[in-house]
Amino acid sequence: MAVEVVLNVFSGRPNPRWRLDEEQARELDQLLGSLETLPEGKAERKLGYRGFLILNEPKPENGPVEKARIFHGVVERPEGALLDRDRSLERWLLESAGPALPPELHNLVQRELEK
Amino acid sequence: MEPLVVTLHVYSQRRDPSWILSENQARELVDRVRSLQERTPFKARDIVSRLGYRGFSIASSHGQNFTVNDGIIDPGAARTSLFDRDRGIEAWLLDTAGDPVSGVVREHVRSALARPAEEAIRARAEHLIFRLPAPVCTSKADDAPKFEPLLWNADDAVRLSNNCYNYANNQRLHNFSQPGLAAGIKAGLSCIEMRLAAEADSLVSQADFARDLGPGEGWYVALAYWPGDQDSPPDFHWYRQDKNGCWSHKPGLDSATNLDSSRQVIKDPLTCDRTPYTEFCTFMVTNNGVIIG
Repeated sequence: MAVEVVLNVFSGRPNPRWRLDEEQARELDQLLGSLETLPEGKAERKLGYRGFLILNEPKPENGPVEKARIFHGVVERPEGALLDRDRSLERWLLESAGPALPPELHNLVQRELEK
Repeated sequence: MEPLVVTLHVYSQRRDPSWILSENQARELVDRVRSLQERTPFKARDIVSRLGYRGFSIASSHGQNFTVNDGIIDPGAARTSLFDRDRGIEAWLLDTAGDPVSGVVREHVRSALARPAEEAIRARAEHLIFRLPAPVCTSKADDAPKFEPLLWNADDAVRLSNNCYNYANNQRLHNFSQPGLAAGIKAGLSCIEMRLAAEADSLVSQADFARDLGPGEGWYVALAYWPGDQDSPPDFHWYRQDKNGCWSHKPGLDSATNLDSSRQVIKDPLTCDRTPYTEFCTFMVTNNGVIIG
């Protein structure tokens, strides 16, 4: 199944989104599979950079389906939370954007990941 | 049997206490859970925000987790919860804690567990369904929409495809609406251009939200702006005043909320924490006849 990534940063403007190729989608599954589970996990989101969303390819009749949210070291999924301890998954997702992300947005997320 | 780690959820800032069950204790826990006959549709994580005791979680090294709270034994999203009517499992888990749980905390949890599970669940349901807003705001507009976040948050398709402008205008169009687009205007990203674009959609600028609006006169919204710089792009954000007089907003594809960036109820979008939408642009009035796109 095709996987789409959304950088969750804007409120009014449409967020940047891009599609993972098959190899990237497999790598994403491996990365998710390597993370520790969290008894409970919900990262507090404010305005501005609010992490990444992984969407399964939307079906027009049903709308998009949220597979996971990755922000501030927490991976929120319907089947339970995971710990992205060093935020490496967030970094990987940022790099997966390639040219889909303008440099100023890349810089913004980079700065957030250094906090 | 593999080790089970119990965590008591009780603190807000400090790390919650955890301890490992002995093999015998782990077996006893499994037996106690297996002996439960009743089920409940509630999940232990449907926890209404509260301070103090918020239940236990039990984790194995293989990532098999379950959570326990208010008599709900929750094995995770895929399976139905069991109901421990007399809260015996919570009391038993507390007894296994030993040193990691101080006397004061132990007493606090004991008194929380004295509340019957059925009563706790009923209170939780009433809180979720009938929660009334704190009486800190003054209603200003007869037409203003009620704060009903579930209409926007419960369904992924609705939440992910409606933004702050859809929410402010109370129009679930599934199009991430842009000011001015319905009027054929592609607005630039500045306060003035956004205001003009919204005016083209028939919103009307206001100096403040002091005047009461009668039936047919619409409701107040507010526009804020994230200025951006060479390292971050600009964006805009809208708030709306609800029927109860407090303000709420929907940050992009995230859930609608009545709290600001400091988790405070919004009495005035001019003075609330809007970080990083630091520039306040204007108040406006919208109404049910406004067409956005």
